[in-house]
Amino acid sequence: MRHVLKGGRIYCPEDGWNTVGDVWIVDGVIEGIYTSDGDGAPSIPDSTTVVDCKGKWIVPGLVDVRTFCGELGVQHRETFDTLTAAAMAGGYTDLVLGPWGAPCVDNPAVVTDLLARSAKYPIRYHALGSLTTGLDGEEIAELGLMQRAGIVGLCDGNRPIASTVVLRRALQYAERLGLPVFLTPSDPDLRSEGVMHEGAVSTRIGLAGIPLASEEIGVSRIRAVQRDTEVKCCTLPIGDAVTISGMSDVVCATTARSLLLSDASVECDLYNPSLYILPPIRSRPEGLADAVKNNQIQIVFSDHKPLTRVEQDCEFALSVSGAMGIETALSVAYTAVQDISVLWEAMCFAPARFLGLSKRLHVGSNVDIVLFDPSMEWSPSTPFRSKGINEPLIGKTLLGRICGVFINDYVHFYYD
Amino acid sequence: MMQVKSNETLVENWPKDMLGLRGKTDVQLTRILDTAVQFRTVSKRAVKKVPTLRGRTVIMAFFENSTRTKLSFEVAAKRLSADVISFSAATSSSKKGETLLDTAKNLDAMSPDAMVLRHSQTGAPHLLASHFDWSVINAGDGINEHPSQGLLDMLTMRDHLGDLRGKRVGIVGDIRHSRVARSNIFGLQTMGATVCIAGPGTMCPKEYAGLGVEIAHSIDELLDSVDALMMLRVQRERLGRAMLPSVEEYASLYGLNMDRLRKCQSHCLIMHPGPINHGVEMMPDVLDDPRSVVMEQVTNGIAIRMALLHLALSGQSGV
Repeated sequence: MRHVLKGGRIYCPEDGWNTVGDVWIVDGVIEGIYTSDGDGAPSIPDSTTVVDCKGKWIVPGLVDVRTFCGELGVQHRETFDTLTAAAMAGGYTDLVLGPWGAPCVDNPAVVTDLLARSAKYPIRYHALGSLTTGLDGEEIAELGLMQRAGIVGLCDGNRPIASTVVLRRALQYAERLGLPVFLTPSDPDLRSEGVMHEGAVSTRIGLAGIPLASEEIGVSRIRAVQRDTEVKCCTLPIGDAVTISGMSDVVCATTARSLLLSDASVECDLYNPSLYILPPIRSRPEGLADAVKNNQIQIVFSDHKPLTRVEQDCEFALSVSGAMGIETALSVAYTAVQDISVLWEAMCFAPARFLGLSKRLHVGSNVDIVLFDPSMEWSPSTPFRSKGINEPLIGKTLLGRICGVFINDYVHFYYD
Repeated sequence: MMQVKSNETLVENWPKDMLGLRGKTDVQLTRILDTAVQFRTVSKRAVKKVPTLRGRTVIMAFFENSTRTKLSFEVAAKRLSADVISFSAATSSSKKGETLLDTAKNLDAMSPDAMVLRHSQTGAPHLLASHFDWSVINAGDGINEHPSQGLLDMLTMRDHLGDLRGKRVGIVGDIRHSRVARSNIFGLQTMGATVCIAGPGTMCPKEYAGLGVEIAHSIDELLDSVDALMMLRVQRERLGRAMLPSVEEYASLYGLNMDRLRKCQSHCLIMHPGPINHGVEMMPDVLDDPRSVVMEQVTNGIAIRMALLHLALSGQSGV
């Protein structure tokens, strides 16, 4: 089966592409790439599916550096079936799964099971292992054995390791293995009682706040311990660019929603549990967007955490924290940043480099392409492909949407 | 039946819920205060009952401890002839793990007309108000608001001070955790008063400046300029969370004693939402001063709560 993606902007700086042209695909492999201003494009054979890509971008699929999937014991929140459908619609072709689950990913048997279950899906799944057993922050997990089982990195599971001794030793151990590590920048004490960003809004609506100092202390602590160990480390999520001001020696990530939403959203959509997110959405999304544009924040991720109605139909602070994002992250980020090359660096190439994944677009390579239409306006609404109900951007107008996905021999079109 | 002088169009358009004073207009607040004044006469009669809410069912759902607020709402509802059902967290299925929404769904099946809700979580009344057609009256949610207390405080002040526009009200104590302070701040500012707050830095955070209040460094800065001084209860359970070094230090730095009372203006009202920690935020003899209106606050509480129930339920079909 041959597809010709015709007249789109082919963009992949890793292979030198930033031009309008056609991409020919046959049986999951890129057969040819022909620029519009060049010559040599053969005539299109019969029985070819020609896809009009005028005004669209032909780009490699996105990489999400930390995603929630409930496949291990939490299937009521998400399964590989639903996550795969949602991720592809959001433009992702590589997902790195966080270590959450029942059991959590803290030993090689679980890693093997998780990756085996994911193997049949068209997108590529990768796993992060927990730095400590049971994500408890006390004992180092079997990092080396998990690496042999296939993990691509380690993380604290969005729970900062309270003991600096344990954190330092875990990073020392990880350094020898050469595994990248994702760490949460927050001070456990300052974070403990709060449910949103501390500031004028939390004061007005009567919710306990988490001060920005929590993030600043968290960033400084990670930076100091990382410098001591030289482990490859990514600090995420950054909620306010001021906490990394002047720091050029840290790799940072932020969530797509933080580029558009602020703590004011909790007041506008009063006490909506979908906005109970830890670490919290802060107050200066424009500053974060600028930090992404000037590469002070190198990675943007979805922070996708689907939750059920039971977990959301309750008082704000008693709901389970977290929000969906895999289906909307690209559009949210594009609405905020409106620069496709910046976004593909932050949501595809930079995370791929950090994790050692390949994102290429050249003749002979396996197909890993999404079509992005930057002109399409849309609003997230139910039903979602994900099993979750906690999408904080329902009803908001977003700009840009994925309209097609090609992964090996898998092809799917949206919104024709 | 008691005649309430009111613009019936406004009653018909009255919001079904009373969730807080934030966002209320001065017209709405004045309407509540005026209605309360009319209901206040009921409590002075030999037969303290009007048929306003006859046949209506009001549920008192108190998921946190309460004495005066719960009793005050019960008395208010009964004086309006409503059927009152009360339950508390200790005797409800929340002890068995039932969610607030599930509890409310069961109560909804019993066709209530209103629920008076006190809950430890900010936003709990808003959650129920968005799910059900009956009225929700917030009797205190987390650290957010306690609107009926704010209103009864404003009524007490208006009784003595007249129009609240241009008046200065001092609030002293644990502002951070006080839903009473927050409702007073929102309500008083809407009515044109200036609110000044004072307390330890741990309990009186600078973020409150964003609400438009003045922040004083000590109680002594307030004394000679305020028209009303509201002392808040110091919650002793806060002591273990590095909020205060000791009760003694608090009493010395922030407590209202006779020396400080003498520096207050002659017309300055002394107020407290109760319960009082005698010897901590207020010395016992302060209560005996003629400027103390603490018991008037309690009396006004019934009238305010009658007004809130009347206005909320009169806006619905059936009355």
